[in-house]
Amino acid sequence: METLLQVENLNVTFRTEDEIIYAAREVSFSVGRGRTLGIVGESGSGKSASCQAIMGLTPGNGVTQADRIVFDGTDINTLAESKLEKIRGRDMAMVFQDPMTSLNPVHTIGRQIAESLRLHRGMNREAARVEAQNLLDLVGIPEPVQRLKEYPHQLSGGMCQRAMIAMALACRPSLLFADEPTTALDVTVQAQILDLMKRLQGEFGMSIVLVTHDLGVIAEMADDVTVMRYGQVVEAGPVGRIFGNPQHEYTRELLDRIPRLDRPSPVYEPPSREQVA
Amino acid sequence: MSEAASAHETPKLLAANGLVRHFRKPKRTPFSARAVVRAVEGVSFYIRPGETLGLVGESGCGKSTTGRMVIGIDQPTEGDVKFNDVDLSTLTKGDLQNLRRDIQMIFQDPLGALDPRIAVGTQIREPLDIHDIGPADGRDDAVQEMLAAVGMPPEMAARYPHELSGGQAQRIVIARALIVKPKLLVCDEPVSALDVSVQAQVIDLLADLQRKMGIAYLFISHDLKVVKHLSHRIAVMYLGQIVEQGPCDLVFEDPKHPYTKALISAIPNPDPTVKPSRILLSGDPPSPLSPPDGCRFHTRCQVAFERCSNEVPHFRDVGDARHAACHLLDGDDD
Repeated sequence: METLLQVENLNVTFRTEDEIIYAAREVSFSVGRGRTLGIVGESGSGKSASCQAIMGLTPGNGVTQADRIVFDGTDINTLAESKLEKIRGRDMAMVFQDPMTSLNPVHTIGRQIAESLRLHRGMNREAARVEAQNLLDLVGIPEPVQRLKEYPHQLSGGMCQRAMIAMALACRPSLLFADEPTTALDVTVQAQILDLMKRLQGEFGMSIVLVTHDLGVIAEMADDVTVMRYGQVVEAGPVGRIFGNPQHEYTRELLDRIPRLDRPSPVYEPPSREQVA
Repeated sequence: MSEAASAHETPKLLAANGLVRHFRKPKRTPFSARAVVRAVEGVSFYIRPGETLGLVGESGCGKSTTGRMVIGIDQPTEGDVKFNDVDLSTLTKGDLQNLRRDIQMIFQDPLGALDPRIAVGTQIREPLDIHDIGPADGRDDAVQEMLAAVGMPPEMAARYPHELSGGQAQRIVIARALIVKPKLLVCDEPVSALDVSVQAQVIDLLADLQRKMGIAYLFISHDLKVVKHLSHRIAVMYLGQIVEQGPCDLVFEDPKHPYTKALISAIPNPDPTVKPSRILLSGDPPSPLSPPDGCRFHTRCQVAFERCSNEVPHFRDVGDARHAACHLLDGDDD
């Protein structure tokens, strides 16, 4: 398996008035070409911070340090911001949790998709419009011509997330970071989006880093899994092993304690049921 | 409807009959027609003492509006809610406040539900003061008891909400709701804002308290996993209507309505060895501003046929105390 992204010893720290907080501590993982890495953890476990750091998007008061971050043969850890800007959005793209706030409310969907096409692929206005239309079609948005002219508030949450995916895929990235891409959506819409992501991954052969707290989504989508807690990786391995034979206490607890549909629920017998009979 | 329903039932704690709630939107121009959001359109259910009814559905299906009508903070456009056979709409404001001893509620955001400037112990005590329950000097002891019941150390009483995590805050909110020993607790997405491991703790706590105190829950959630874990019976809502209702286990084992089937199949299973067999619904739910004619689900239903777009399916008995509204379930008898 060819490695597309290799992260070694990533530390993300935030300095507050009196202490240094580690959002991620000695995080290492790798993503194979065409594969999906699921990063699972609860809020504050450092999963989003790690992804943002790799893309060079750590907020201003944070510091990213790493031994190596090798993406497609280049060490992007030491790369100048101007060079990183060329890679970001073109070779690696990101989809965020809340599609409504990730899109710019004062620009049309079409303009936002075209922006990346014109910037990275040097298309002219007309070519970018046609390509944007194709992209909307690709992600299953009906009436793409009409939608291009609409603003984010005119679209439902699911549609916005599709538009976000269209934007992320505009330059055919080889790596897609999806940070809780379906958490804000209803389950039936989530199923559509997961299905879409799988289909597009098959078509483009891209790798996906899928960040989520939902073990169900991980089980369904990921080839490999990294479990994070308090900024550190507690366990990593192929999806079958993590779910079938979890080694770390925390992973086991996570799998056992979550409510799930495939196991009988505890019987909380109501007092009234016997009275009925 | 009400005669038929009362024939085979044990005493009901709460009965909602044909609840309808329409919201009239403001006119966009002085001459335009008023748009009406049909949030809830004919919802009936009941809750028996000590049991949990899970109300599930996607966002915008009217489940929260239903919950608000049950606790009397929203008035139904049509239909009524009866608590212990008393119609809530006939109550005066004072009566309604007395009713709070019996019906309490908790919501999704616990930190939003707590006053940031008051110590949590005082907030837990407040319902006792308002309803003047028990001797005044024994109330602080009651607060301590309640804190212990929700698994919090006694010194928590002196803390302020900003010192609490989400899970702790939700425990405090639960303590405050249960200190008056209500008979019914309406829980509107009580664990949706919490992390998965904390979710499990709060769910276990709710189940535990129900067993000990015999409280009935109306548990409103979009998360079927959580609802299954906690409910005795469930009602599945779609676009303002209940499409299926029945004992929880049976509904999950063998859903009758196509929407319930799709909803259950859409939930990712945390087991990578099981390939999902999924019914993928197309598009989004239609707007409650202009719900489709006939069966409201027919625009997304994979097994819809001609009759579904013209005729509203009625809610029928499908055996085992289960009901569902789908034309496919109709026998030859009508």
